[in-house]
Amino acid sequence: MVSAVILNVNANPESITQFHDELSNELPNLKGNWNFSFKIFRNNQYSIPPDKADSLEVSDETKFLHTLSPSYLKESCISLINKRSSALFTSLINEEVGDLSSTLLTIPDNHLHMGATTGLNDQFDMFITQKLQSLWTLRQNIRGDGGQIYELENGNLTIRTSNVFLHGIFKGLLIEVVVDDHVVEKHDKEYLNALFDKITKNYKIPMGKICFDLLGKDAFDKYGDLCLQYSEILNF
Amino acid sequence: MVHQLCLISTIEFSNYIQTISTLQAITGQVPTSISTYSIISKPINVFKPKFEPGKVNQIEQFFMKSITTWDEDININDPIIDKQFTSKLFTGENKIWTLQIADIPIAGKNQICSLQNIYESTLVYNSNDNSFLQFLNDLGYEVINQFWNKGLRFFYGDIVIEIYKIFIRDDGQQEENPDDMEGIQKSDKITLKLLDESNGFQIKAFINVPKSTDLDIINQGYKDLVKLQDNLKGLVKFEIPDRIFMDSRVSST
Repeated sequence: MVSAVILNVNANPESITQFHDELSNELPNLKGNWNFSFKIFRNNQYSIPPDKADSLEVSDETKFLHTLSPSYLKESCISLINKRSSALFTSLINEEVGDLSSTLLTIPDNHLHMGATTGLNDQFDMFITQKLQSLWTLRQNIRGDGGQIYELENGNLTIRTSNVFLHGIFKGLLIEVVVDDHVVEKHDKEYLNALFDKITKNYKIPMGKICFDLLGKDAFDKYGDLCLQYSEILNF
Repeated sequence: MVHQLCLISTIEFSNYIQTISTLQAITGQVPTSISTYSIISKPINVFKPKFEPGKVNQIEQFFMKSITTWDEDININDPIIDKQFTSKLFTGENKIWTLQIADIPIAGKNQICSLQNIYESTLVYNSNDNSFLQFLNDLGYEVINQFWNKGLRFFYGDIVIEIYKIFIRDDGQQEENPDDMEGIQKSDKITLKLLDESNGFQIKAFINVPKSTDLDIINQGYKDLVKLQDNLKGLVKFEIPDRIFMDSRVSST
């Protein structure tokens, strides 16, 4: 899959309703509600590289760690460090999810049975706030609420919308556009630009800052890419 | 977070068969295998929090354990594993790793067992061109040690009983076997040795409680562990582990 994330900052109840109406006219498959939590951590300024520990009082580096937990990836958390190193964490054990196991990445049963985990995992963003405070401090906690999921074009296109809140203040309407792998011909910037341009025009997506950047040039890292796109868009 | 109640002991090699048989009898179960590979890492940076009068700094730095399964089928008396196997672990794309940081066990008088908070988060996917070690580095950690764990596990009500051996890398062994024609093959292997050279086993009986506020379950856990301790007292002398050795905080000096 390739994704693009758009933030329409001028959204108001009227424009949001209008957009939902437009999408409904396309007879989409309604896939229910969703929400997300997006956290921005910065390196703890008192955590200083060893070679500068004697000369500096506070660190001269600036690093970021972003975490994204969309509810459609149940009990999972995508993390992206310095817009470079991505990972997906989950607390779901495969044998506990049943039918969902085909659509979600889960912890293999073996990992639990062989003794590598207690099976009682915390979400990665919680783990950071609880135990890695000396390295990373939480700067912003952005929430997405009241989200809708529309599946279009026989499942080849998914549009997710969500209201974005920072400290309880409305910041705009976020639109996540996901295109299935087998309709994507190329991965270069011009192609993706044309692809998402067509989709946004077709479905009258209210425009704003759009990001469809990829972490790597060749290999698709769908989770890392999505987290990168959120980090570019939700940069208040 | 897991709140873990635990008791530990050791079993001499000569008592192993008897212990296994006894546990099979009281649990009515055939044990399952446990097999893990763990790396210990510590924060790369120095943490120098600003001292402000009247403000207590509660932020600590912790050593972190990363655990994955160890698939190697080894002979417990002569453990040799492929070097390629270990390097695979470090760069593997689809490896599952559990990050774990534990608090020092709670202090107190007249304790029945060790009480400890354990925090875990499990990585199930990490991008292709980044190895797990690279991820740890980006997170701010560097590897300082590693060990392997192999053994058996019984379930007895809520209690988990694990009997295992710990292996560490045997560097001395490799120096004694310099590469020759035969040694080419040898050099692809990492020789392991037992951490406890007496060839004994570690035994650990524990109960994991999802919430540290669930006092009913914790109190029941105390009773169950005491009962087990009593039942096995002729065979295994269960004790409370020394909490000082379980302190994972990085000292600031």
